[in-house]
Amino acid sequence: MLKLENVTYSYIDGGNKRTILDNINYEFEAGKFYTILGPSGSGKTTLLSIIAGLDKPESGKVYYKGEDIDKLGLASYRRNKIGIVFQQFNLLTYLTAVENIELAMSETDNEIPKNMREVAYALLEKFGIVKSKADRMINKLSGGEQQRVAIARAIASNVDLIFADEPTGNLDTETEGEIIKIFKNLTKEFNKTVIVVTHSTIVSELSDYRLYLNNRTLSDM
Amino acid sequence: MNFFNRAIKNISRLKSKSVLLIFTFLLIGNLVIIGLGISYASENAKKLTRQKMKPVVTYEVDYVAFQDWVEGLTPEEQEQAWNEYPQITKADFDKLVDSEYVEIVNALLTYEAYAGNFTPIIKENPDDGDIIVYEEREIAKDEYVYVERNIKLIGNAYENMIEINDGKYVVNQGRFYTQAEIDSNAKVAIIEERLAASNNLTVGDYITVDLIGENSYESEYLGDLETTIEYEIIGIYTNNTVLNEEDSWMERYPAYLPENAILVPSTSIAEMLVAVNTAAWDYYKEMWPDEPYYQDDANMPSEDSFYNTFVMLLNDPLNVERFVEDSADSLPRFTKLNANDELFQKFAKPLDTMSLFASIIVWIVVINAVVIISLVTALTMKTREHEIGILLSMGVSKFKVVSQLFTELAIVAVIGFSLAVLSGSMMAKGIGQAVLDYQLANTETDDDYYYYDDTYFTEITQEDMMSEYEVSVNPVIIGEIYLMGMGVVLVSILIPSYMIMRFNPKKILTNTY
Repeated sequence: MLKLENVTYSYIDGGNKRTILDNINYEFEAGKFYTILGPSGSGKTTLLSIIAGLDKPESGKVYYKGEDIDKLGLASYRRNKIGIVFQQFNLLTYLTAVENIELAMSETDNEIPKNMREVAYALLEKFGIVKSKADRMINKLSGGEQQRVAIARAIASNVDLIFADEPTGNLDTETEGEIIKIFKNLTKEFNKTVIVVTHSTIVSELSDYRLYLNNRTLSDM
Repeated sequence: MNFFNRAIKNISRLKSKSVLLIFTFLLIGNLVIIGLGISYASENAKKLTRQKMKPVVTYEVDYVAFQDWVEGLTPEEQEQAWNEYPQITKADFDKLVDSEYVEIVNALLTYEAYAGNFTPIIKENPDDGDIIVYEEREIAKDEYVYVERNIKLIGNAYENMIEINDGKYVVNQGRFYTQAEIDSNAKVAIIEERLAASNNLTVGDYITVDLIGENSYESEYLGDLETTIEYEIIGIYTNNTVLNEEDSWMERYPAYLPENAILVPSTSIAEMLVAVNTAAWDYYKEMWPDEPYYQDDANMPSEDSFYNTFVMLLNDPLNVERFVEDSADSLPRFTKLNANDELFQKFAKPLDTMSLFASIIVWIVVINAVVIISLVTALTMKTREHEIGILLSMGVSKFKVVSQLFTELAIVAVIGFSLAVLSGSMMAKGIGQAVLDYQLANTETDDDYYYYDDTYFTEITQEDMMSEYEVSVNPVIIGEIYLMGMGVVLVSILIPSYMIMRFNPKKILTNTY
């Protein structure tokens, strides 16, 4: 599904080169729920950014279903192959919840039903956002509701790979549990591959595979 | 939800930002409209005045330039220079005529002569003194008699005349001469209807004209040279020239009366004049063998040197300036094309000054607008970095992101400029007139006499020109302001967009660039 091949990433910090990912090789299977754990500053978010096509590795390749994502075009890869859920939700605040979903649907080149608005309402409802809330502006929704909208947006463009970066980091424990269930459900009900970067042991315990990033290398736990 | 829908939602839902930008565009738009309005009105007043002027250009010796040049020479050089006073030649003129703008050409050889086998018209009761028909006076020797010339031969080297085009001369019977007749020195003439009537002349009759008077001093060197030309009348015309009060003195001189003007091919006169002047040349060459002028064959009389008026009627008054500019480089030294510009430019001076200032203001405003709008946009974009990062992280193309930002600002600009068109058009009229009044009151006036030849040029006054000045916001200005506005919007979007979007989405979202 997704293969990392000798991925290395470093940056210049105070004139010194600092390598945070060193020759990482890993292959993610389809339809599984992965969590990536590791201490702060270990490079979890950087790794997620690279496999999500938000940044480029210094060296090495990322393959999606055997194709180099760089050759696919990173924008095209992000638009048509993956969905991303951020800790800060990253929804457009001058749009309503349902409009944020429509935005993702209208931008993808994947096949999307013509009655976009109805599909978006239905999708949001599946994640607990009823129509009256779906028509609200984003900043009129709670944090948990916004994250649900963000997850709905991630899968709205009919992709099969979902990335999430600390998706429960800004949520209370109760809401965190609900969101994790949704992620878990994405693999079962929607047959998505989910890769979540987290500090939360609650989240990692529910995943199919737990990976640990430390000392610039990625390993199974 | 495409970029256009997003742009609309952004404008309508973030109202305070949109209103602020609309207000900015409104202010800028007003300044540009006033500037452009004044500039256009000035140019338009000149254009309309120019259109009312006959598109006539004369080819003349540039006496002022020659005089200035001579003044810078040593006394010996000055004497030499005056001997070589610049001359307009028909050959040089013919080169100018070969232009797409030139419609009708007068290369005139005008010569006052004596009626032969017919009687010229004589004004019976001239307003200004006695009729001058015969005036005897001593010339060089007592035995020679000067007899006042009583007809005028007007010869053109081209087969049409500006006067015919203007309706000043109307051929009633017969026809005008052809280019073939000009080229073959044909002795054909078109005479004035009153002259024809008083002499019972009609098309097909012959008249004789003497170039040199009997017993004149010229007979000393002419010998047996025949100076009478016999013309066949091929046409009869009406000369609508009216002698005004200032020209009433001409009534005393039959040769100046419109009735006695006979139209002939210029070559028919030139041929004879060359013969007469060659006889004189030979005579004086023999008389003054030491005079260098007569030893130089280049000074021998030629047909070219007898032409005295060169005028071109162009196809459009608006082509006059271009024609004069285009031809400037090919003119021989100390010759010029005169389009009655001196007077026109003098009257247009206040308009030119206003137009210049208005254009400068427009450019200053436009440059400032780019800076102001770019800064406002850059500040707005700073608050939208995160949004841009989100859109890019979703795979939205940079082109679509820029398109959305452009559309937002363009819609706001169109609203601002549309309001500016309404308010600006009201202000521009008042401000434009106030500026013109101030400019007229403060433009130095001089009492220089500007000569213009009303035979061909149209009389204009500063009042005529100023009456054409009317500031209004026309579709061209509206089009320009929208075009300019879109240019400003595009530039002010592209620069800050590039500054942000050159980084990858991760850096934009985490604000770590």
